[in-house]
Amino acid sequence: MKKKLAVIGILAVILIFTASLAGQAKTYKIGLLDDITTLNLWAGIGPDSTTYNFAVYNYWPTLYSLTDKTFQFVPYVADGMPSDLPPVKSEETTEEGDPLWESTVKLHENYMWQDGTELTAEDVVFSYHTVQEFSDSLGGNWVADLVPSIFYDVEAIDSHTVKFYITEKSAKFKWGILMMGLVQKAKWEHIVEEAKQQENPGKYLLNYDVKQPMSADPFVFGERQEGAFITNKKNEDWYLEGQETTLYENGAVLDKVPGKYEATYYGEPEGDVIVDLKYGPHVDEVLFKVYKNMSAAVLALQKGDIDFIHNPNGLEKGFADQLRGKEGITLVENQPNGWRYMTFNARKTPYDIINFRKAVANLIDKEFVTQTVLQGVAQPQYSVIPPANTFWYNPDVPKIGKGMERGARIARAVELLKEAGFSWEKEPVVEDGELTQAGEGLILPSGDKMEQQTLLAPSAGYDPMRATFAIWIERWLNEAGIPVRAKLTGFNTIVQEVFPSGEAPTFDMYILGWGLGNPAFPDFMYDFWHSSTSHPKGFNTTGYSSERFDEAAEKFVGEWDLNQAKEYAYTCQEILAEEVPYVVLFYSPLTEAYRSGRVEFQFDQALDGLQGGYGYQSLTMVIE
Amino acid sequence: MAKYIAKRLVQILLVVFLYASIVYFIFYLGPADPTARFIGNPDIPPEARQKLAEQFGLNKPPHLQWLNYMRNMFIEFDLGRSLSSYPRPVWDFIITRWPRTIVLFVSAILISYYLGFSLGKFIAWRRGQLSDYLATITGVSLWTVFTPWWALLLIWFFSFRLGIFPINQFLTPELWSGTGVDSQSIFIYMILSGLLASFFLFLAYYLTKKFVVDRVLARIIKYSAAGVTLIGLIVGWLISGFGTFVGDILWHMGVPIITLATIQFGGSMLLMRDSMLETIKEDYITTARAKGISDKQVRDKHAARTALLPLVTSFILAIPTALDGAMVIEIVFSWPGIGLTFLRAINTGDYPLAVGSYTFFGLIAITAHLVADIIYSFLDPRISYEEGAMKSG
Repeated sequence: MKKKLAVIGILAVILIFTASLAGQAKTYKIGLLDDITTLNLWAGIGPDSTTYNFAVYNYWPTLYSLTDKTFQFVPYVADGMPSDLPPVKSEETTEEGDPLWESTVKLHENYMWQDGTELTAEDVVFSYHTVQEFSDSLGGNWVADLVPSIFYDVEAIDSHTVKFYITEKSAKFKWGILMMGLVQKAKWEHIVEEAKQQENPGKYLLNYDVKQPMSADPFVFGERQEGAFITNKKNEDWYLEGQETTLYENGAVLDKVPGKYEATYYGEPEGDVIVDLKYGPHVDEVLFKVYKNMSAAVLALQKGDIDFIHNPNGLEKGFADQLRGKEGITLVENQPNGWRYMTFNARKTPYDIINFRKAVANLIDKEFVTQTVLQGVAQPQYSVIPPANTFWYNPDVPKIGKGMERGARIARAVELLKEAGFSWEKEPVVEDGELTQAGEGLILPSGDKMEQQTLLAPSAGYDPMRATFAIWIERWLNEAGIPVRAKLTGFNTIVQEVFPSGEAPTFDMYILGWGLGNPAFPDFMYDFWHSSTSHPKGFNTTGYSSERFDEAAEKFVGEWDLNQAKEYAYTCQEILAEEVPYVVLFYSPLTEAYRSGRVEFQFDQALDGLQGGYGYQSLTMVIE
Repeated sequence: MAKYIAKRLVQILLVVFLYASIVYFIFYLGPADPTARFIGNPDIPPEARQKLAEQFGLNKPPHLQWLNYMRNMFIEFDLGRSLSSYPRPVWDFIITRWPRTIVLFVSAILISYYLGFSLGKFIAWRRGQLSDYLATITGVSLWTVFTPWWALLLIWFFSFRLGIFPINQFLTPELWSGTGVDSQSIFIYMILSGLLASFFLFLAYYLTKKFVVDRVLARIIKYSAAGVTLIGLIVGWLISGFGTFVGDILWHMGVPIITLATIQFGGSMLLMRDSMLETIKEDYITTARAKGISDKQVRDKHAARTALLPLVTSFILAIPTALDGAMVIEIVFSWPGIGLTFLRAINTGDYPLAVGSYTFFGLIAITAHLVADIIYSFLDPRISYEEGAMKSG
């Protein structure tokens, strides 16, 4: 009896189940490896920022954006380019009487929020003022975009025009400030006012429980079951729905929304076309399913439960092999916008000596580790700009040690060290291209013997490729008489050593990696190596200081003409390759998979892969 | 007994204080930095990280942070705010995540203990026979199997190959989407209806035992009570409109429960087997046999009931320890319970959340010990907690 009842119960559940699945809308299903942290945008891209938040938050618009695939600066909510790029000197000054620069931006008319109200200059002014006022609490990406040290003010000239005032004529105005997210004044004004009445206004704003984020973007929030799924529905009133963007080989961009506007940027749209993008959204819904481990997500993709996995690291080799050749699955490989590197603490001797750093670079055989040991899973790299970022990448930087045999590398390292005044208790000997005697007891130019040094690197559990490099580097440096011990440890431990709170770091050498943010303007070169950014003031963990480089980097970030900026960027790359504050080691191509039997991407080759565009939700078509 | 419980509660308070302090410092001394995840973004300047650290109160000396934490915990019952989901309260996570963990793990433990109890008494009775060896080898092998590997194998087999269970998660998004039903309510509903069903069954069994003398009639009443409870649950769920959702969650619990039950039953089976082997040596078992009572009755009614005692204690103590091991299962099955929350807190350096959830684990474990002590005194009349009245058997 009980068995019969159980069977009837199960059948009833299955019937209801099947009925509910009938008549489904076109849904693009993306697997996430973690849930979003919040629906409060202030917190979600501020202190609680994660890559999964960015994948889901297709709600907030920006004045300007970057084109997909080619990363060109183009208008979004703005109607056309700013009046002045670079901004011109303003008649206004700061309260202290310092000069200001200004630029005016016009907005599209009838650009609507999802509640049917128009996005106006008031919303823009409110958004920027709120971030400026709460910048200490919001932190995170808000501060990265607003750049509080440069942004001074924005005012509404009329309902569809705003004027920006900045304190420096920095290119960060274009690549940061103008691309900050916008929020709706009507939704947030009273909450911000309430926050200001609190003892801790920032906490109040970040803690505000948002049930329904207000969108003016391709999708609106549908619902969320915490830890299980999130849905975004197509925004039927999205102003840019049906947008067609054609990207030309000559750099021109043709942008039109039928019946609304047509515009061209960066020259005449003629010649070969890179890609013709047709924005939808072409799906009724995006369903984000949360899987907490890659194995399950890969099985779900293989089974057809999801169409794409958003994972910033792509697929590991084992998973890629598991999916390769499976029906309905396409694997794509793209170059990442980042790399792994080794660096020194140039605040200490001998790391402040260029020849020493060059000697170390000579000893590291990147080709051997990447091709022979790692079997081509990684590729050697020499410049600080990833090769796939073709506009900025300088292919002619000096490639220290490339193609040299082991013996020749050691001989060159010995030569460089001797030039700088180093000696050995037992000098390494190379005969007929072979090392016949390993070096011992390196003596510094000061006459002191070099103490045992530590090379910090992530353990194999975290990143086997960096761990492998560390072990080989330890071996090669010791062969040359440089006493180094590789310490493979946790990522957090290295971070604590490299970025000690409020003080200068004391490490010797370490291996880590960088994801490089906005590929359209690689101002990370200034942030990482300009002498003014030496940690704890900035990201220059090496403590690298070079007048040559400082001058080139300043020219680069202050330059508004892209072609001229490219020249400066080339110079920066050359200096860095010659003076070697970082030994850029390698990059590993990003392998991703999607269900080509169900979804169709308008392109699947792009810098940073499909994950870089969060699965290109407003471009992707569901073909089933 | 009341005096004993009061005394134990004071002890518990002291133990929780020490435990929470130790846990706090273990996490504080760890290498994790909650602001480290912003380091990966070169656009976020170090000053912004510094300001975040100040906002979280991380710039204060460790002892002041600890004092503040303890004051909040014991005076205001506030476990602080998550740093990775700032400023969401830690309590909010605990309240949201515990029901999911409880539903899955209590179900799995009940099944594995029932399996262990049944097999244990069976193989003890057939000691030295093939079934004894087979069950023991299987139980021990599965008991020692590497959990993630076993779980992935079962997911591959049941969910991918056979396709009879879903691949991970705890619900089917396509089914729940657009219904407005909150999974949290369903989990709580499941816990409440489970408790209600248990209470009803206990009442039916208790009253039957007390008032019904006829054995056949008693058996009919017991089976009827079980049937009525099951039907009542299903009807209740269907009438409430939540039946589909409860069914969906139960469907998703399939592979995790099979995994947990197959791994855990070996322990309880061997415990039951050993306890039975001791019990069947007792004189009263020989007497029962001599009276001509059937083997099945001697085994089930006379031996198994007495042998059950250590298993009950083990069962109660298994609940907190099983929850402790929830991390592995919850990761492998994408089951966002307290174990997964705890692991994420550790990985992101979110130590208010890590300390809060781990302290809660500890609290459950300590309370379970107290419950075990109290239940023991009911189950075994030889044990008493009255002062000077501790009896020995």
